[in-house]
Amino acid sequence: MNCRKTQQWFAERLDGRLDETRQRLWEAHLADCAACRQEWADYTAAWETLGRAPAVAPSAGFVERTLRRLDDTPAPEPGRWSLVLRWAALAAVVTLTGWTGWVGYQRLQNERLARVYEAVRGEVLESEIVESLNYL
Amino acid sequence: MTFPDADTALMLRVKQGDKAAFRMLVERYQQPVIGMIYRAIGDAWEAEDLAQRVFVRVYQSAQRYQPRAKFSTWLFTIVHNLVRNEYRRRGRHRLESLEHVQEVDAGAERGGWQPVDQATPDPSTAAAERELQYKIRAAIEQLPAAQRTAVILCRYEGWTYEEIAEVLGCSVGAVKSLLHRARLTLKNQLRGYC
Repeated sequence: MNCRKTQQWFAERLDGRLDETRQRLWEAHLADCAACRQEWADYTAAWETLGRAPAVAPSAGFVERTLRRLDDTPAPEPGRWSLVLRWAALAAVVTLTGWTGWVGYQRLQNERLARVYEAVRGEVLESEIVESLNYL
Repeated sequence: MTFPDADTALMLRVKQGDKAAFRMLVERYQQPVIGMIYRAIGDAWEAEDLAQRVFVRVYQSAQRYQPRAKFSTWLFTIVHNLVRNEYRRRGRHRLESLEHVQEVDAGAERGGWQPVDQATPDPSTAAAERELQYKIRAAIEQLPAAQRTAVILCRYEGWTYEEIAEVLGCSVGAVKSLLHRARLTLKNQLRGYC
């Protein structure tokens, strides 16, 4: 057991988390080492000193003021992921609407072309018949 | 269905929009929440303001609340994050003035918040005591956020390493290390005042 290890165990020793074996080793080193004893004394003294800082109690009416503040606070802003999801949903709707419109438009165009083709084909056939009759 | 603690059951009622349950939670936790923030930022008025923001956030987050851990663990995670953000907002790595620390007395005179332990020693002892409190506060404020929270929860709230690890989202070994490093810093900062 050396000084470095002993001092590494200070926190666990202070918080009562050293098991029996480690505690015996730790105490044995401390009994023999004046430097570690001094370090340990300073270490624990500082922790004790923290306890002298005063605590505060809530002022009167804290609960009521908090509840009032709750009523005055606007609804929370949506989180980052929530915003991303909203934009993604909007983009999906726009894309779907555009795609549906485009497909519908193409179908109308195809139907119109088919009608024109049929009409032209009909006229061609008619002129071929007339031409054949003239030949005869 | 069983919950880790009674507060979790209250929080699930808050999730259903029960303001009476929320009020009970505020009454129950006002002291530890204000206490922790006060110890972290050293200003009682701001501590109350931040504590209110913590509770408002609890209420607003109720819809997303999942009872995975103890309610207090979840609550103090919010406190830790808000305090850390407050430090960032202020860019605060400065020492407070002695006058600022004297708000303990000023606050009491204004009839607002009260220090819990109010000893009234003679003036010279009182001045020495104020200086000590200033040193303690400055030492705590200078700690990095995670060390500061670990110290406050361990020293003043008596939390275990496991509970602190949950609040900080780290391992128990990391908490041990945080506390050890914080104590070494405090030892150096408070040398001569112990």
